[in-house]
Amino acid sequence: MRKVVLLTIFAALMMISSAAVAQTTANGTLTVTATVNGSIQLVFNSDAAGVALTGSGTNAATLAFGNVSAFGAVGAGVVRTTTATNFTVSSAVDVQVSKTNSASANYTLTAQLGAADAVNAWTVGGTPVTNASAAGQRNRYQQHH
Amino acid sequence: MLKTYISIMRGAALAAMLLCGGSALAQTTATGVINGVLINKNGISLQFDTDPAGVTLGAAGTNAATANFGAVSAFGPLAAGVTRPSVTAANFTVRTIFDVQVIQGGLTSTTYTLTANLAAAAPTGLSYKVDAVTLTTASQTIQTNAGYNTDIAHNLDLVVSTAAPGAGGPAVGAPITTTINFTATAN
Repeated sequence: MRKVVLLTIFAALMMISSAAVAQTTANGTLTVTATVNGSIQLVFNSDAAGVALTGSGTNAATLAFGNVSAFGAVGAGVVRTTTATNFTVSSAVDVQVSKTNSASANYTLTAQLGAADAVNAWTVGGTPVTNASAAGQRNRYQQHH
Repeated sequence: MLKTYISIMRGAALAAMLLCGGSALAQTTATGVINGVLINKNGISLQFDTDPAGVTLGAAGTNAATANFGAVSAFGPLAAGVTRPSVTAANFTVRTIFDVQVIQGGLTSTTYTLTANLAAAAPTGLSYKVDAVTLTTASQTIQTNAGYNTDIAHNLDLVVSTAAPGAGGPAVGAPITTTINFTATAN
């Protein structure tokens, strides 16, 4: 009789304990989905030999040649060549393109003027650029130009 | 004498009517007693809610919700409710915010502990954080002493390796799905 009573009490305690544990926790699942895409980014950096850029490290920088003339003084970082018919001023500028999540080994860089320039001629890396169409060259990632 | 007789008759008639009326009422009512037994069980429940600053959850308000970051990349545009807190050479992080609400009833407990774990190992090139805790398949504590009956915002970070697919980076161009298990335990 005593055993039966003890067993009954034990069973009751087990049930209470089990119920208490079950009732004080709650579960949930959050299913997370994402689609990773490869991407590249272009920024302009000041070149050590060129004009210091405003907005260096961004994709919207400014390069100011300052006052230029065939024979007068030119600003730091500006190089000049003069002929009988024209003179050229140039500055080095770095372009850095970074890639992520892509096996691509290189990229093509193109450039064109934002607006027509009927007076001056422009070149980038020796390639003439106009506002008519983009001119390009192939480059490797993470390199400065 | 006649007057007395009439009065007696009227009294008798009135008594008879009252008796009839009483009898009629007794026949249209019945009473009974139900012995109801109420077992007041205590417990807590957990639900995910959409945070105003995060992505809209699928099945919000339930304990089995979905959060879709959409297309993510280091430099490209992101979906509404997704931010990109950091981009390094090695990885980038995209973040959204979701709410957890735990409701309790019948308990004296005033706070709960929230734990989380990945249902399976994270896909290659990805790791998941909740409130800066990097998740694994082992349960980890996200928050202690959290209050009941209110939405509590949590950051969900997806850290993506910038490596190319096959070189330690994640697969690209297809949805990658991971399940995170959460458990709230009453303190």
